[in-house]
Amino acid sequence: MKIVVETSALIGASIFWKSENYVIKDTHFDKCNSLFDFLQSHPELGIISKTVENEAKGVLDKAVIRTIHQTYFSDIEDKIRIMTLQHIITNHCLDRLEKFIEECSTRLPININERDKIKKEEIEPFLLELVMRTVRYIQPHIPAFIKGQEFREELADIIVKSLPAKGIVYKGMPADRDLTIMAEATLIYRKHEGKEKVYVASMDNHFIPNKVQVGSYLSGHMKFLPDTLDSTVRDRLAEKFGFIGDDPLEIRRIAEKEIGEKS
Amino acid sequence: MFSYVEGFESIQKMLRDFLENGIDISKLDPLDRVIESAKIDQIKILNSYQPLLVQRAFFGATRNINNVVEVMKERIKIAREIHENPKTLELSLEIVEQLSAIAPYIDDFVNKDRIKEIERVNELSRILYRKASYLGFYRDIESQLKDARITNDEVKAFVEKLSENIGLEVETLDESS
Repeated sequence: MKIVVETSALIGASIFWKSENYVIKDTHFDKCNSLFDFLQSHPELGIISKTVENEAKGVLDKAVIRTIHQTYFSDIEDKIRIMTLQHIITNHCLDRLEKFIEECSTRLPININERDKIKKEEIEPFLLELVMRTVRYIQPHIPAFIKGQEFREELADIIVKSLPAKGIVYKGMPADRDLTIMAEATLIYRKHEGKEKVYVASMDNHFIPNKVQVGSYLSGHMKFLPDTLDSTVRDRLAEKFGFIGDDPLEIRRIAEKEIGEKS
Repeated sequence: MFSYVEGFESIQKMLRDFLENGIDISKLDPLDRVIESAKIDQIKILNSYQPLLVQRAFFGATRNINNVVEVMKERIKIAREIHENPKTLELSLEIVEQLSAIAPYIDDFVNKDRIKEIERVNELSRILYRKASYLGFYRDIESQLKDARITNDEVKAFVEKLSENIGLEVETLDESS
């Protein structure tokens, strides 16, 4: 078994700040950090590619710049303090990120030409076609003459429940960087000639089963169906290219089970 | 006009002299000149009309220089008392190599208003920070925050906002949130 760590999982575990009185962490920290705790004792299972490393550092940089832009400086002293703060926090997060790379993973050689060929000729066309038949949300049509928010919500629930098929929920075409990581995971799977299961640990909706959302921004009624995940696209990717995307905690559970069975 | 390239050459010369003839704490002026200039330049950089990305890169680099050289001065001052003369000086010389690598970029920016290779500046700045931290030439986080008079609430607010922005970047935020 191999665990390819995707950008969101790497960055999710890197955003952590502990002081005497408080702890601040990324929304996905617990899940992501739990996987790295596990990988620290099994670094031979973890793979963090150069693409993911660069991508994660780039994401951190962009997010820091955006955060500074959102911060108001009343004077130059204020600006110096905030710039000092971002410098300290960036260094701290990068220290964690680089520690994970050094201690929790191995790095396999990736042939860039081969990877880009898989991306352009296989993954991209496959997903372009697939996303034509996916929806971002389930949007039950309720006629405008039916008034009252509560009643409309109730009706939406009934319609969703009674739908014979709910459609495939997926968040649209992945970004180019996601396609690159998918191609790398495929390459790793093929290098092992299908003898190793290859998991991609991610919090990004393009890699993992998607929560099923009912409604849209415009409807004013939006919610996630409880305990419902749509894994259709994830499963099709796994079937076609070999890599299985899942959230880091789930992958840790699978890995522990597999190691337990082997020993 | 202060030149960091020349500043680090003077520090190098001073360290070699100390290695040969022993530490003389009345001759630490080369360190003081760099510390003072890096302090002033941090303000100058943040007051400039350059984009935030550029300001951030050069502010980070000069802040690292300031931090490292300040710690270097403190360590040299107490080296004799703790019987670590040659070790401190040799490690300082090692760090000066890294400081010298970034110096031409800072000189170009501060003295000639020339910006080149921001990526390289960030990379060299990070290498300097890592090496300095590893060799004990960088202040710990708590004292950095205290020196800058940054409160817990400010740290908290910044990290929370940062986490939210990361969610937007990597598309992990639920679209309803």
